[in-house]
Amino acid sequence: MRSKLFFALVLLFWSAKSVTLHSKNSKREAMYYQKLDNGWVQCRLCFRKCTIPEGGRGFCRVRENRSGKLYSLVYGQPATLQIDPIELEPMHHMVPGHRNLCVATASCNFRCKHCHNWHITQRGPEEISSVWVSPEEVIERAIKEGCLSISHSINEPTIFYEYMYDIAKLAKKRGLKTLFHTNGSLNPEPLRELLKYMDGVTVDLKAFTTEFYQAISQAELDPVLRTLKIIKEEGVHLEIVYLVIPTLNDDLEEIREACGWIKNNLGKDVPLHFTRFFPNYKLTRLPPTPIETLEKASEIAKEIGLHYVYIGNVPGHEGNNTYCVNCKNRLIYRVGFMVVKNELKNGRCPFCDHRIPGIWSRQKNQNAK
Amino acid sequence: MTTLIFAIILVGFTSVLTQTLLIRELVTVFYGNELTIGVMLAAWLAWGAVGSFVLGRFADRIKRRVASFAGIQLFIALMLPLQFLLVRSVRLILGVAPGELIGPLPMIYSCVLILAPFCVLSGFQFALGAKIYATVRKGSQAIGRVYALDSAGDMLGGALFAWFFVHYFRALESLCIVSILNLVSAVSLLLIYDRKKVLLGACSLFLLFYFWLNFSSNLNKIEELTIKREWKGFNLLETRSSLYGNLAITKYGNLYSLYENGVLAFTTPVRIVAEDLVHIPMLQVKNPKRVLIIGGAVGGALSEILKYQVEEVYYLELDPAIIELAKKYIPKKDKEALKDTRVKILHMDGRLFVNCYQGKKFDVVILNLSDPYTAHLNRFYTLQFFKELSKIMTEEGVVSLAISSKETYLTEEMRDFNGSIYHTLKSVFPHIMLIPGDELTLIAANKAQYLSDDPVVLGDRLKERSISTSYVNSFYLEGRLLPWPIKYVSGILENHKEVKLNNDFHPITYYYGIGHWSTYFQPFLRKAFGYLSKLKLSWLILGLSILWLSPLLWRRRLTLPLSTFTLGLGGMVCVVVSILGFQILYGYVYHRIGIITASFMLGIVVGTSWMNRKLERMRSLVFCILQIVAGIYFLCFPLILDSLSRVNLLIIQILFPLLTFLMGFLVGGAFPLANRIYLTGIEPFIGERVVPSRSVGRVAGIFYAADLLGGSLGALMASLLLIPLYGIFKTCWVVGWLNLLAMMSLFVAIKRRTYA
Repeated sequence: MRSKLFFALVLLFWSAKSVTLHSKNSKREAMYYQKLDNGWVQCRLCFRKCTIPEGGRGFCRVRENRSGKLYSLVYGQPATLQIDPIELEPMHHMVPGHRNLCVATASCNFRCKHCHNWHITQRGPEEISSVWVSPEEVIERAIKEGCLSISHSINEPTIFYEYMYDIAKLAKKRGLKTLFHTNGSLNPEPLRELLKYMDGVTVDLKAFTTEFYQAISQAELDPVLRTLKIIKEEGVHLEIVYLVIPTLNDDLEEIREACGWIKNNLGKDVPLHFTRFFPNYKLTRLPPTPIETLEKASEIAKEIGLHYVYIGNVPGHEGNNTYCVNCKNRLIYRVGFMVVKNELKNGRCPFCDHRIPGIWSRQKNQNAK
Repeated sequence: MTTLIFAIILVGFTSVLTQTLLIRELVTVFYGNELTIGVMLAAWLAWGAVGSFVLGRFADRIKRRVASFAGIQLFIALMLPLQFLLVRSVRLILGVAPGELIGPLPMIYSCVLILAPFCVLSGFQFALGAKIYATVRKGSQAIGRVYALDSAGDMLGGALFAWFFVHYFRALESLCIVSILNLVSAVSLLLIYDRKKVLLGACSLFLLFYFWLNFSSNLNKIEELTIKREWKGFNLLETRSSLYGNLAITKYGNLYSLYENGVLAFTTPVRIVAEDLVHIPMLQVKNPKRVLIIGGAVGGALSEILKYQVEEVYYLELDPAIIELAKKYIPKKDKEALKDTRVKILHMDGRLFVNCYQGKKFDVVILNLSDPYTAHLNRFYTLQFFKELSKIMTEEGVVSLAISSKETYLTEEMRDFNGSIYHTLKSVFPHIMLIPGDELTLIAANKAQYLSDDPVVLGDRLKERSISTSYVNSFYLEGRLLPWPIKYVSGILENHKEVKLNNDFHPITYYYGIGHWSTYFQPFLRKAFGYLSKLKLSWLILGLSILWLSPLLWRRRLTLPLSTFTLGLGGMVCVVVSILGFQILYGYVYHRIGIITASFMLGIVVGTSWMNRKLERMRSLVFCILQIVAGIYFLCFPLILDSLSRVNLLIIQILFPLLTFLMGFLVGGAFPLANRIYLTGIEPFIGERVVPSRSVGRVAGIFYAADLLGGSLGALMASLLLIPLYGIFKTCWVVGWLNLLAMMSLFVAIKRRTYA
């Protein structure tokens, strides 16, 4: 008797939960998945390639199999639409100092222990309060607020691929610049399709060891490296962020190796940001990164031959600035993510006329090749 | 006889000292907040209950009881250091990354597992001790005696820790001394009562071994080794154990980090943090002369404050050891700031300071404290505290404080947590400036004229006052004071009106705080906190009432243990509430808090001894009377607390120990009586007799377990649920009501002669 009662209660609970779910979330069929036998589906979006039974969800918590069809639960459900300077992204080689609208939803396909945005990435769509905002409305808002670009960041945009894809397509039509900040876990096919509509990508290279990716993020390194190469191939502007975390990925040899790989596979012109870690989420027992470590890392990167190496999260450090590779003059003076002075003329150094890679024009349809 | 008394006092002594030391270590390994500490304490008491109840029945069957008792002492002596080593190795065993927080689930199961062997045996010792004691005294008196001695041992343990052990011995040394005492007791018991050779040999052998260990330097080496294990992955420079907890200093690159009970207190020199903390509020006042900063200023803030033309800076740091330790590693300019004549460093609780301060009013008050995840820290975020602060501030003065938050999106839990502090602050200070980020900084003032979040204005003020900074300037501030996040966060908090205000006697914010903390981990915890916060008091009372009356319908024999359980619960709640009340009305002073706990124990000792002497003439109805008094006590307690907030500090100091003494007396008085009723039966009314036949160990086990379980539930329920959700007053009324209910069902059982 007791067990029956319990069962009934569970059933009641479960059905109530699923009802609210169905009513709350919009239905938008996912892109890039494959139907399997017995109502299972396989998601082909990110490297995990989850096989999902009926009623189940992927590792990302936001892609659900409903009767053999995969749906995105976060399409049109942003957790936040935030306006920031583009430097916050960070994206230092795209019209310095312009306003950028960030789009983010709930959840993530990684589980980083140091996640800065754990409050939205580490929970499901039901646990985030959001209202329906269509891609058109996102664009309207960006234009109304005087933003030059729309970025998909804060949480991992891979998991709201369809929403990002639609927004980017529309944004391009309306003359806005588009970018996304990713952990680099998209599979090649969806990545290449997406890049058609993107002006820039910021990729987190969280470390240069598989061990770190597995232990700290529950992820893999190889897909990230593959992503980086594809972005390079497709000729979309790329910047890389390496968050230096004390004891976990701050080994200078590891950093040297990463820099070497970047030079050999992506070229010397890729901007690389070494950013300072502050205790966060589950890694609150770690101290902040010593500035010396960031400086050493940056020296190593320059030694290896990378041209644009930045130090982030240390406002006022000279590593915030952009210098001309050719004549060593300061071109963009930044304090944190505020631009104090921008000397660039049409993307060129005013002192020696050296061309600095990036997207420097506010005009539409400028290509970043 | 003396050896036996010594052995039993030692039970209480060992348990309190071990508890204090192990819980400090556990908090350092895991994390200390109201939830985790509550769970540790509850696990401790619950295991003790298991030991006395389950093993208690064996106490009667064992033949060589004294030898067994000595055997347990030997086992405990061996267990203690091992348990300690285990605690220090937990991080390695669980395989967590250095610097990673351990979630509540692994914490709960590892605490429960680690504490089990010692606590179970300690509980069993009580029952066994009572049985042994029964050979020299009448059963029920023996139990009462043992209870009194055990409590006296508790008292002694607490006092010796605070006045002796923490100052002269490191944790492992203290535990070894406790082990030695246990072995000495075991050897003397064996010599006098039961010369079991093998055991005697083993005890003496280990006694010698511990003596050797204690007087050679090996123990220190082991201690160092275990600390290294605990801090694996860090470059640990130094550790220190103070009255308030364990401190550690680590070095990474050129940065030194100070950890307080395993929590990163500050890293130095990280100028950006110190500058951000100090300059933003300092620039909100025209000419700051007097500054009060509570907590953590040694890490760099002090020298930043001294860049202004200040006359006096009061810096409150409760634990002197923090400054002593940090002093060695901070940069020269921060060291000089400590010696500056304008700086007054007080090792004093903030509430006590604010209560006593008579000097000139402050222009800037900076609260540099951790998030209020405990009732203790919650005191600095209440309506009453803000009101008291505003009394010692100038008209133009500002208060600055910071709490965990985010700027991109506020979760439900953050909305509650930040919102309750925001609205509480707002009801005292009409103008609040918000600076969102990983920490939400709130700057509050009575007047708005000079407040500004314009980076240019603030930058100019810096220049006007010719203050040189490495990071904070108009550009930095422009990035720090971005308009969008400010608009977003203030919009949400302003409209989030369904939160309760944080009140001294209704400290809701730490509940919201733990709710927020739990979102770091398992979602089920977050949900549980959400559901519980919606629980109506009337429903809770109804549920508890049914539960408390159910033995009446089901098994009336349980009414007496239930009454003892309720009294135990009452005792714990009384101590918890008194400590909290004292911290609010007076302030936090370690030794004074110790006196409050000690006087409760003293109450138990006196109550038990008094009852023991009159036990022969007592009727079971007396138990009902004691419980009625307890019930009334709790119903009146809020009135006393309320009137205490208007009397002077001296009366508060005297009255709180008196209050706990009284409760201790009731609990202590009832305990032997309950045992006697169960053991031999007493005529409830003249001329009648109900005679059950039970043996001493079993009975002692039952009631000691009921008492401990009551304490366990009381600790958890009061600090996690009742006090934050319904307030201290209603908590007392609930406990009072439960006592009256238990009394009523007992009374019915007595009338029907079905109570034993």
